[in-house]
Amino acid sequence: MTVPDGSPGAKIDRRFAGDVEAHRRDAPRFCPACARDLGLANEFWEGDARRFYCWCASCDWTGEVTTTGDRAVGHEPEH
Amino acid sequence: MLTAEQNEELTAVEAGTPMGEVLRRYWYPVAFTRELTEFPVKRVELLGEFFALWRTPSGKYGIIPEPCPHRKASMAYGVVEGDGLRCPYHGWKFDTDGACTDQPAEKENTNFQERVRATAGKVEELGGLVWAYIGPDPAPLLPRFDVYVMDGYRDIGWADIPCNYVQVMENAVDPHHVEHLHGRYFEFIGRHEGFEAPASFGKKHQRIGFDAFEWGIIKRRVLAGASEDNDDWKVGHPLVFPYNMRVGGGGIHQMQIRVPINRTTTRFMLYTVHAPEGYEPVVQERVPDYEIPVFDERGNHVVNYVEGQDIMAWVTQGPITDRTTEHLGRSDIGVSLLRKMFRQSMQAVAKGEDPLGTIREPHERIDLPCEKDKFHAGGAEFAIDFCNMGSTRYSPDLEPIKQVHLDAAARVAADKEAGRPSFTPAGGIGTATLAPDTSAQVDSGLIPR
Repeated sequence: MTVPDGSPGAKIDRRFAGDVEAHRRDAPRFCPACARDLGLANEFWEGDARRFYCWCASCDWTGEVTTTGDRAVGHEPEH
Repeated sequence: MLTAEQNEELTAVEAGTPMGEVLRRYWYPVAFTRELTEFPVKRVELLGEFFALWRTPSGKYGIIPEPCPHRKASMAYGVVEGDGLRCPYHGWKFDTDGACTDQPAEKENTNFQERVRATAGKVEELGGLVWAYIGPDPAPLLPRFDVYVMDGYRDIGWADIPCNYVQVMENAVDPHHVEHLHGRYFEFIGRHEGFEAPASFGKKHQRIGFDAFEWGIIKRRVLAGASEDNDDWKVGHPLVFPYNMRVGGGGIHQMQIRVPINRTTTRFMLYTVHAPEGYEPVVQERVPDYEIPVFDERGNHVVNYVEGQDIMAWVTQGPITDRTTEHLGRSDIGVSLLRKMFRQSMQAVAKGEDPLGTIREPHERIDLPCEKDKFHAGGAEFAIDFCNMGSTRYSPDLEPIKQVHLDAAARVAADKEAGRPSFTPAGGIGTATLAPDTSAQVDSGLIPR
């Protein structure tokens, strides 16, 4: 039996296997507000940033988490 | 992007899965009223299970799982007798509550028939459709959404499409696709096939917004040449959780219904009510239904009409969209909001609560917000584009429908000249659902383009 795309065990689009792996590695697991398991961490991209739209099933917190790696980008306003 | 396990959970429809249990808290259209008047029994597939649906001579309806509790033969081949359905194999009979009322070959002095029930669902008729509820008791009420009860000229287009319903619902919170799929792509196809695509569909998006509300998510957009004062933004139109979208404009009111038949088949229905200002009620003996084309004779998608383009985009994602390798952007934020709503509903059902959009209070009509001036294209222009460029072109009632709009426009002109108001069927919320100078709950902000 063929497993439908998107199911566990299905053949994935190999062009993006690295993204699948990175998602599993980096998706937030715990709520920043109550520290319980997150109900949703939906990844989207914006420019160079990888962002996760999150919702906590325990405390109903909603927010975005952005991966930065070792470097965080700051800014210096004109003065 | 989700993990494979999350995608599996999101797209499941089967009993015993978190989403399957959410979906079993809603009513679904499972037949056209006319079908059961032509033959009183129908085999129905819904949420990955098969059922026998029947109509009794007195007009009552029943639905029970297809396998007879006796020896598992199909009750969809049963015999309608009185208010019950009798198995064609050995004659066991069940009433509309699922009680076994006869076992012809068994002795009468046993309690055997009281020990086997057929787990009946609930069935009601509304708006030319037969609706079923197959979830746990107590059943919520069948929501009387405006389109099903308002005055107007009706028809129902439909197609069974080979994909999971969630990818269809995610399209309902994706405003940008209109500009490309129904704008630029439509124009491209029109150029090659020799027709002119509707200009209003290609207008650029400058702002999108979403608001969660009691029935789902209101979707908003500001198109180039318009502002936040236009209906597309201040009224918007809703995704009606978990499987509908209310759309319309130009005197047309439509519910796009996406019934999860099984995990990889969706019954797509376009329940349309033509009810322009100036409408004079027309008696319809029955609501016509018609199948819309998905594939042509070569197996390619039919893409020269609006819904055919949508279907192409849904189906070509695969039977179940692989969300482990998708790449969402900021413009897909509505998709994130919908996924959150699905998860919230799974959570609510797991806690024994009703999920979003179930109703238990008796009601006459539920009005849903829907812009009247769609794409600020003008009422008549939008209605004509809708009829010619959308699924209505396949309706057996295309000409009467166009006549409804033409007659209504003439009546409005005559009423105006006579200084009297024109009749407009009641239904839908056409007034602002967002206060001026207020941001939507999820809002892109204005990006002039």
